[in-house]
Amino acid sequence: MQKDFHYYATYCAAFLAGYTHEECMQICYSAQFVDCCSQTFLENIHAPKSAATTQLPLELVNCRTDLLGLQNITRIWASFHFLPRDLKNPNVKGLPRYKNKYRLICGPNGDLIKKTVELAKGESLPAVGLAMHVLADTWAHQYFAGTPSLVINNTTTHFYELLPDGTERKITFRHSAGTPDDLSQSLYTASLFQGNENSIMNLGHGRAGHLPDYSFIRYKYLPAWGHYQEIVKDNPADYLHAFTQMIYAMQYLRGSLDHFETDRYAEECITGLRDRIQSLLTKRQLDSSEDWRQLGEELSGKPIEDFSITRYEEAYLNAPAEEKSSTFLGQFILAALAQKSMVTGQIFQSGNHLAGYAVDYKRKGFRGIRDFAKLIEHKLEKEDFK
Amino acid sequence: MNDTGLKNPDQLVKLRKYENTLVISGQAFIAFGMWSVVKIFLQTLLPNPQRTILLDGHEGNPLYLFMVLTIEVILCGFDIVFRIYIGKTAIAIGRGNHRKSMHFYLFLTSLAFLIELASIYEYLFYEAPLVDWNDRIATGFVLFSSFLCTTDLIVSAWKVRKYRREVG
Repeated sequence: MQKDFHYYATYCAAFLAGYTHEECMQICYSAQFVDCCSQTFLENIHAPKSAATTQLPLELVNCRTDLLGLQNITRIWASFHFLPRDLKNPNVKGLPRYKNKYRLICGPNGDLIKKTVELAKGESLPAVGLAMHVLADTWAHQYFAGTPSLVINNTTTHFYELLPDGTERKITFRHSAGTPDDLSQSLYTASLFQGNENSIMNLGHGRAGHLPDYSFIRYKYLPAWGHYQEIVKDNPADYLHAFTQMIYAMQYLRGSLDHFETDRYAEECITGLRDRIQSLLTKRQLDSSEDWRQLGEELSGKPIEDFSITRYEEAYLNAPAEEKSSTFLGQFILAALAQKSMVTGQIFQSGNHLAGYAVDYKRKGFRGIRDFAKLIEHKLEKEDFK
Repeated sequence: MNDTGLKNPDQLVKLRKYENTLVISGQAFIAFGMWSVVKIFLQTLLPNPQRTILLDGHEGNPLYLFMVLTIEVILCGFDIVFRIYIGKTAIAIGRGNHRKSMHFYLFLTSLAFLIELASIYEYLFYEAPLVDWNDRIATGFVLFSSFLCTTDLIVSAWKVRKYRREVG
């Protein structure tokens, strides 16, 4: 998903879940910030690099794709943007290496999203926002995996847009990053075909371009893992599910509900807004930010500030070392470390080494990357490790 | 497995699979044609026992050599044109761009299959005894790969025809 949904739609969902305007601003900022918190950004503010929740294109270009490099890439993308649906999926045949990659395929309503939302319970607002980003992406990015893999993430020329009038139009992909997508002719930018299994071009939904991130589009295609089965992706329906599930999740996180269950949606919260949201989601435009912003400002009656990556930088840089974790960015960093630690741990415990090693602190003490000591300290302060 | 729970009809899945195979086989069929061109050049530059037999005592005669080479080039040319036509048609059929009937195409692919069989026979009983083990293994490998590719091409073409009729 892109800023229109992660920032403005998350604001709307948070407000409908019962948060105040100020709380909504923190939540939606955090949700969008997941797409901006790169290693480069963290280096500039002297923050732990392990808290990176994304990798910029220039970082990816310089990325190693040896074993350790691939594990690092998978840790980031599978934890924050392509949360696996079923790490123990039995319905896959092949060698262990293929099965491990197949089991990283993203999808909604899996065990991991339940753990992700529960991880944010009782935590800061940035943690709530981060969880909402992950939740929303499980809907948009389903059928792709957060690891570079040709045999999972590749697509073919069999790609058709299902138009509102019931007809189909063949989608043509071009490889021109600077040129905007042309909706009238179904001309979209996608990554270049690379025959190398572990090429960065085969990470996530690069081969399908920006299509999963457009709320209006319905399309069908043949995924590489599908054995010639055609997938029909209905983004308007998926985005509506994502929106209502975010409201439900935030009701739980706010304390209005005792439990979070998967496959539950707060449909009742959008009763009077359903038609408006449907038309917003189906409107053929590359960016729906303005429409979502209008809806959000109507709901709260307050203006929604534009997203700026540097909004909380000063506060973090100027805070003394012992108080950094209390700042907005400090709280976001802790949430990112916790999410990455949880997802990597779950992937490792399922017998899958694609995200690298994970150590159970409670049983083996602290090992590994020093950055995560910050997370342990935070948990000890909260007396989580009694 | 399709995690959406949707189950595409089996015929449709098989049709897509064989269409894809047809495209790949068509590309490979053309590639083997290019190999024929490379082979002619290599055989001209390097010692060639078969040409010695063809020349049959006329090795010192440049006109005879020119005639033999010309015939080889012409036959090679026919082979390339034949392969390019079949390969490109296979790719067009696989991608759904071929509008004409498949009968003539299937006839040509069957002919190609017979030619491949003849090539293998010729290689095993006439060519292989004349060359050393390195040549035998390399040429044999290429020949059998080409044969497999042609077989795949024919099977895929027939399957595509069959499943397109079933799907309608």
